[in-house]
Amino acid sequence: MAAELSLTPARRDIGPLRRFLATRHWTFAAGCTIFSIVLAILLAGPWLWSLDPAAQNIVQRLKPPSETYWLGTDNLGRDVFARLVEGGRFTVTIAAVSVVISVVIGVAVGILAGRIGGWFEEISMRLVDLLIAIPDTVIAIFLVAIFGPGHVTLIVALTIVGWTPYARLARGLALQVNAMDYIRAAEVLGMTRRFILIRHFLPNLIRPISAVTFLRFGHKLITVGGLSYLGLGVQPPAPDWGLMLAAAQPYLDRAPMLMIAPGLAIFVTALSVTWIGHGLEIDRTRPHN
Amino acid sequence: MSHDAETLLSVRDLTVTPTGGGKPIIDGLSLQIRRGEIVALVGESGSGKSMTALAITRLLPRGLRITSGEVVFAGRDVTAMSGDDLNHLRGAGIGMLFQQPHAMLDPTARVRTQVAEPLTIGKGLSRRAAFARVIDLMRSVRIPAPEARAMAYSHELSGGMAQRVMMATALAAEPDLLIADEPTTALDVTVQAQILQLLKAEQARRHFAILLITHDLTVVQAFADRIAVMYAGRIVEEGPAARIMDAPQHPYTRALIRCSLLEPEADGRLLSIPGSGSTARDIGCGCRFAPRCTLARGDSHLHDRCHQAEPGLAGHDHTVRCHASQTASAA
Repeated sequence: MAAELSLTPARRDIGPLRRFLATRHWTFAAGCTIFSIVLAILLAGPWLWSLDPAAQNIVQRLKPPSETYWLGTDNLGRDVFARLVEGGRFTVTIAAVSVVISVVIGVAVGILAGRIGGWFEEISMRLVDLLIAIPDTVIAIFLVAIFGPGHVTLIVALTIVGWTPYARLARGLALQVNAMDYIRAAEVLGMTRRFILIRHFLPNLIRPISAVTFLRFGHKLITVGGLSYLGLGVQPPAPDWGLMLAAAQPYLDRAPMLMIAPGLAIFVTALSVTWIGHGLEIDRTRPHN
Repeated sequence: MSHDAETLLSVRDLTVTPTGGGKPIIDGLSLQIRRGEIVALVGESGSGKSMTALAITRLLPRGLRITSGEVVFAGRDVTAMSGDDLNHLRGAGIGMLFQQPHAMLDPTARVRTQVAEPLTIGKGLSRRAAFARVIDLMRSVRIPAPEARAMAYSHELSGGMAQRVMMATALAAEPDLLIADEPTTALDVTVQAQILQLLKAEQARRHFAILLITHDLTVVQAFADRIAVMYAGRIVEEGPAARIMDAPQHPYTRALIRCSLLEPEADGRLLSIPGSGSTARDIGCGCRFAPRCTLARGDSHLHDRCHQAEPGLAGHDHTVRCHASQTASAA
């Protein structure tokens, strides 16, 4: 018998995760970098800069940026940078919490609708159709009128509508993955439904859902800013990016930094997470995929 | 038909019908498989071969259900089984191979994770023990460098390699019957032969039975002990492989064999059976193959008979469903 020839695959020098990250679109790396910097500042800020965001100093009001006040002061002489860091913690936390709750509810409902089908699918998807037609600003106004403004009201208002796009997406993906042969292969091997759900179903949903999650996260940041701007979210004296924008309005000509700083903060943060979501979906080695 | 201890699978009068009503997809199908036997189920697309396999494991798609008949596997009626029993039957009792090996592999899991599933879930082995078994299994289906390939993902495998992995997965559960539904159709010719040889070698070593579903009679010749030819949801001829290949009785079987061998006609053209199998189920009475049958067309006496009454399966050990051959053997 002839000597058996066998080809051994090359030793893998990089793991699948590293390879996945290495083939992402540049927006993924850029988004991650910017978002990490924003997070680091928001988390470490209060320890690095000892200025109290609530401390008023009426003599130093509406000052331009200086060595003491990096981004100047507002109309009550409070440090803009300290307030930006403090406010960002509110804005990002509220957006993140509402996105996470929305994803959990939406994905659960969507998968159940896709796998169970029948009346559950019918009712839940019609509910999605109904809710998706209502803008979250309207719901926020409604809830604030009943419960009064605050973090919890804001999060609830964002979640009521927020879960619906995930439910739709997850149902579509569930139907798609359900029709895949590898799900059949697992059934043929006598695997239980729960095992198939956890081992073969969810892993195939994670990527598209996480991409959409980051995209929606950016959108949520802007919505939180908008609602606070309208006075429906965080209440003064607690700072918030949207609130700071609103408060800056009368002083635009004298202290433009009051408007530029929070506006830019919302813009950069929202852009970075949107880039992450965008880059996550695009493999730059396969441009037309 | 005998029900001896050697009978592993016995399908009797199996009928599968769409839930909304309509003509049966599989119509009164009977089939026996003994332990360690290789049976080939042959027929053209749409004849109901694959649906037979799915009906046996109760994996019919939504919209189709078994309306009558019984499927007895190792002495137990599959049609009456509960969910847990079915989960045990699939894998440990009956394993399956399919046409598109790549699609059968989860793109997010490593090869070893998937091959190990029947071992960890079905047999309760520890992950470490299961992974060690996986390497053995992969070696036995002749996957070169199994340690490296065990860590690969499905997109890193060729078609033949993916089918070997599926085979290792099916064998991991140690089934008594392996249903192979066109396992080589998606592969190129040289790989087809390798996979079939491997299947036969493993069968000889482990003594499981195989139900090979195919449309290619050339594949079957050297492989199967018995052949069942299916047409439009019914078995039209069944018997020992050698006898069917050497002396086919049913005109459909004869035509299939000639098509598979790619023997040219006298005028140099390749034979094709006139008409299409898709219209056969519309026939109210009479032989389902009659509209396409050369025998029925050639003889006016036979023509009437073939179009008026459907022949039964007749014969012993080698059965055939044809008026012409039954008349000939009676004469």
